[in-house]
Amino acid sequence: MNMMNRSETMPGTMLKKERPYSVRGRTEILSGRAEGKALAERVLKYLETLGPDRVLPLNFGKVRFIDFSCADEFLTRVLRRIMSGELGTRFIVLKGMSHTVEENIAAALSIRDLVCPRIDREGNIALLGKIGTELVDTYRLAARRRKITARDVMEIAPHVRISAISNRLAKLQKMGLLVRIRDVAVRSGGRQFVYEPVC
Amino acid sequence: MQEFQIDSPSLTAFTMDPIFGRAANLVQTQRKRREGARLLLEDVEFIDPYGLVSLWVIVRYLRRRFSRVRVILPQDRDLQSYLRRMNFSVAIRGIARLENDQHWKRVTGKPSDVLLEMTTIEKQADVVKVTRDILTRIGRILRSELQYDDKDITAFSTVVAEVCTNVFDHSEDTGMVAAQRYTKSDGTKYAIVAVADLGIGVRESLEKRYREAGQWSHLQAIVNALRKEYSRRPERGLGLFMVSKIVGDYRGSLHIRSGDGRLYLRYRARGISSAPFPGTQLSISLSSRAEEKS
Repeated sequence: MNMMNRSETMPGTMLKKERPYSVRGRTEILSGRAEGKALAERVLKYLETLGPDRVLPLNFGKVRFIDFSCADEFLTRVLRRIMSGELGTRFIVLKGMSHTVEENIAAALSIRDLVCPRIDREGNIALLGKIGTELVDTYRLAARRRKITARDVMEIAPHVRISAISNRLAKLQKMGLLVRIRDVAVRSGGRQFVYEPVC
Repeated sequence: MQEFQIDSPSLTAFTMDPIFGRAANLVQTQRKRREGARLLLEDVEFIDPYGLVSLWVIVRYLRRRFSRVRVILPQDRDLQSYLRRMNFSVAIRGIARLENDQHWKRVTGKPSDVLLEMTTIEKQADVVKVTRDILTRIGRILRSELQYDDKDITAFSTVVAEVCTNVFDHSEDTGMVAAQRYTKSDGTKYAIVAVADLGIGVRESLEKRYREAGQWSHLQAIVNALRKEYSRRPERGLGLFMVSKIVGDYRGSLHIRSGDGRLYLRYRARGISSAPFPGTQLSISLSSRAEEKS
């Protein structure tokens, strides 16, 4: 498959969104750790075939139910690999989930202290998993602006020191939610990083 | 023929401990392999899913020492018909013979009203089958009678899937699951799910990873198994933690019996001495969503 044909880039951004990857198991019910592990291995293998700076939507539209163990094994493996940096700038987002599916995925992510963006059927973006409100607000701002610096975040956190905001952005980057795309000079001297949200 | 009289009229997680103890004594005091044993249930009047799956493990346990086992069914005709609908005779086929079976026949063509018949759990495909049943037929009953919504059905499915998966992940044995719903005299509705096996038990399972587990009491091993990420395998141990969390959210209760300990969790955990008996037996009660919301 031609990489260029299966992905799209938003103007002025670095990350390219891939065509959705359909999550499928042996049946429409995904159950147990063995199945979760097999799904994770398939997705990780697929991510490795993609070029850098890619976001892969995982589409759960064909999944009727995923049990907690399967959700944990599947997404913990994938997200930890992403967070470790082994996959470079390749990320995932979740989509096409029913409430039932989302429930167990959110529970697994929360227990493991992981976070992943999800897009609902109306196209709204939210973060699933365990994450503080100030990080959610920062991510939302990034999602709205498509590119963000520490100074931009001062708009929603005017009383927070710039160093604390920089830490916040670095934390979101470590979680696999933002990617650092470049650094730019600031008028007062020094440089600041520009981040882009994965979704 | 050795006789084993069950004298408790009600077989539930609260009443089974001494029966397990007597079964263990009976088997351990037999020096020679005896000809046969009769399990007398004639005076039993009520059996919940925990009682049912426990009878299944007791019958299997008796077969370890006795060449044949006969189960004398309760005299109560309604209870006999309930046992039939719960597939009790199918579950013990090949390990015991039934006596006093009045061959009650269902007179209507209606589908069975039981929540989940006794179902053998030996592989992941069995869990998928049970989950599919919960998402369809059982889900309809839970919605109409216990006012469950999608979220509640997901929680119920998660509980059943996790406790069933534990059987082949940890027990090194085959398991049996069953579920039924009830209404208390005050109108409170609830469902009971029970799973039992005759495997290595919680402590021996944890001992595969934690050498010191051999020094723990069985009760301490059960308490640890409920802790987050406490498992025989690294990076695991979330299943029972999750189950206990859901039980708390639904103001339900949880009994886990293994070795000579039983943990009863309702709002707070209470350790109860049980009789030494192999395997793990577990009962979960989840109240109706309407009760939970009120």
